[in-house]
Amino acid sequence: MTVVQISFFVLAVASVASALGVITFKNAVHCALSLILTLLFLALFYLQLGAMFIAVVQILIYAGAIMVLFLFVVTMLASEASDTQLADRIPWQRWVAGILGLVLVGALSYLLFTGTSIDNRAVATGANSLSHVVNAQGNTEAFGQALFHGFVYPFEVTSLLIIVALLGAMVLGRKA
Amino acid sequence: MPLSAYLIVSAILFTVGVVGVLIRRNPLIIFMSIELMLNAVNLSFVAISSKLDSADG
Repeated sequence: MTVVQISFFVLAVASVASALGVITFKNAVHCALSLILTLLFLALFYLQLGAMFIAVVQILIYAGAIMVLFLFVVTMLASEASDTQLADRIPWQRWVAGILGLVLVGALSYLLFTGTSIDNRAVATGANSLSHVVNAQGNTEAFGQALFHGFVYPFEVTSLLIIVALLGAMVLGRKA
Repeated sequence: MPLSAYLIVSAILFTVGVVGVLIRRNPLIIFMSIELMLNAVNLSFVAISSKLDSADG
């Protein structure tokens, strides 16, 4: 076992365990803290894969911004409303969810183990390959090259989508 | 590590998110489960991008 393998297994077990914590803890604050832990483990996965910029952005945006927002919402309005007090719970919901989850993980692992491997796909080489660009220009520059040259149109559509969501939040917030 | 190892972890995290959406009734925790699913997909994107040595994923 090399260091990479040991760290991978430790990270995999830790991230899956904290993800299970997100959906099993009763208290919403505990769920949010467990989700922060999962996101930090995912950032370590990105570091292991050599994606430094994505890892730093993951910590800044998710653990720093989005989860703080979640914690604010939890402490302001939804801390007492636990699952058991909501009356519209279906009794067999948990069993059906477990069965559907097993079906999903079975289907995903079937696809993973029987699907066409991408090992023999054409790996980018020469000046186009990511490692070449990273070595020549740096991690952030490689990310910016990909985002603002190949993916400009999806980037602009995303900004439009964010503006629409912002307007929707403003309209909904004014009525309340 | 082989690519399939990362994809298996990603699939497990995605499934945990789906089960979370199905079993919890608190809307806030349903949002957290959705975030979990988004991050599972992000992990598979980064793993495939690293495997193919291309920033396009």
